[in-house]
This record gives sequence, C-alpha cells and structure tokens, in this order.
Amino acid sequence: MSTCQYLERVERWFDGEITASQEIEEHLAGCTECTRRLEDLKALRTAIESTKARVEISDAQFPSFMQRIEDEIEPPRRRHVGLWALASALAAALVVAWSLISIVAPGPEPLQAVTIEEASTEIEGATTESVYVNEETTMVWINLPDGDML
Amino acid sequence: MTAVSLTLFAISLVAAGDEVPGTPLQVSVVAVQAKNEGRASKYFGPGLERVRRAVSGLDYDSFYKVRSADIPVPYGEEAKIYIDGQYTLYVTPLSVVEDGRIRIKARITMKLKGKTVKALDTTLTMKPGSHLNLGGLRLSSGELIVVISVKSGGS
Repeated sequence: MSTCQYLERVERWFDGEITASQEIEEHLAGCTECTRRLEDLKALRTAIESTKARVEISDAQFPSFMQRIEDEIEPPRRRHVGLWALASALAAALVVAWSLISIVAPGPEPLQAVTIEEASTEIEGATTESVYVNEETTMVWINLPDGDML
Repeated sequence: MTAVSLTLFAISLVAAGDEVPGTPLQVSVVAVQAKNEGRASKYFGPGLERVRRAVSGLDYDSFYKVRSADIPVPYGEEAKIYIDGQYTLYVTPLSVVEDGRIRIKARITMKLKGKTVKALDTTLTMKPGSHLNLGGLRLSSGELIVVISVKSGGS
C-alpha cells in the first residue's frame, strides 16, 4: 500500500497528464517509493510496446469487418410498449364496464314478504299452489276436486 | 332419544344461522268467509279491518269474519286454533331467520267423512307484519280464507 502523497502526481506525470515540475523532480530524487513506482511503469510500458502488433485492415476487408462487429452487438431488447398499452386499455375498459353494470343492472330481487318453502295436502285429488297477492301478502291456495267432498 | 333429537335439531338450527328466541311469537289469525253475493262493491263485515288489504284483491265481493285469535306462541310449540266445527288451524313458530323473518309451520285439518285429514300443510318464512293467506277450503256457503300474521314477542 502506498504511503507517499506524491505517488498519484508522479503517475499522472508519467502518463503525460501533467507537465513535469521542479517540485516532482526534486521529490523523485529523494523518494524511494515513487522512484520504484516510476521504474515499474517504465518497464510496463516497454513490455507493452514490445508486444503490440499493428493490424492493418484493407478497404476490401472493411465491410466484412464492420459486419462482424454489428453481428456481435447484442440487439437492444424489444420493449413491449404496445402490449402494455393494450393490457392497460383492457384493464381500464373492464373497470368502466364493471362500474356501468353495477350502476345499470338491477340488484338482487327483493325478498318477498312471505316465502313458501313447501305446501301439501292430504285431500285426494286436491293440489296446492302459492299465489302472490301483494307486497305484503302471499296465499297458499288449495284447489279442491269438483263435487261435494263432505 | 327425544333429548338427542332435540339437541341435534337445535345444533342444526344454530349451524344454519337460525335463532330460536326465548320470547313467544305473537300470532294473529283471522278466519274469513269469502263469497259472492252479487254486490256492486266489495263488502267487509265487522272485525276485518286488519286484514282488509290482504283479502280485498281476491275474486269475491263479500267478506265476513268467522273467527279471530291473537295469541302468543312459544317457538317450537304448536298452537291449536279452532276455526269452526269442520276446520282447525295449527301454527308452530320454528325460528327467526335472516333479516328478522320468522319461519313457521301452519296446517289446517278438516273433518272429512268422519276422519280428520290435513287439508293444508305448509312451511314458510314471513316478515313480521306481513300476511299469509290460506285459502280455497269450502264452507257451507263460500270459501274459507285464513289470514295469519306474526310479530315478535314484546314488539
């Protein structure tokens, strides 16, 4: 881990980002850490320059070169904007339709005042029926067979 | 065995959400003789004020009271209401169901050729203050309409 506060400035000076100054030169003369770092950087640069090869691309190769680059570029994901818009519109339509149905549609049928669960008779030939008379009255009516039963 | 049956009955009522109040149900009965006498307008005899609306829509022009009764009937018990020499009404309050409606059982027995038969037997739920008409049974003149209404005890 570096401890010298001049180290960053020395690296920047080596990269050409800042111009040399008397202050840096004087510091390098007296700082072992910065001197060693500078030597490492010089060695690294020398090594890189010795390995790099210059590749020439002819005009004839250029179109296929560019094509291969384009082929390797991942196409951007297709954004399903249309699908989301359709889904949103559909959801909105459903909400509106449900609201309209709630407003327009009649509610559950009001319960009659009297609800007949069952009615029967033991009189032979007779039948029973439930008759709505008015909102307050329901009648169970027995239809007797013709003739005198008594 | 009876105790077990009653317990199961009570459990079934509770499971169904029904309630069996401790106070008796007030049962009101008006038995009406309905007939056609060729009147220009409908005639209602004395004592029919309470049931006039319940019977006025029927296809008769004259209505006479045969008998009326106003009695408290405990839930689960059967009340016997004598109508005339031929017909007898029995009413059993069963429970209070949703919306305060009363579930009751009503039957009319009649004497027929020396035997007593169930002329009409029905189970129903009714709103307190509403009317149940039991009709179509013959009298010596006209037909019998029994109007039943109920209201919760103490109300």
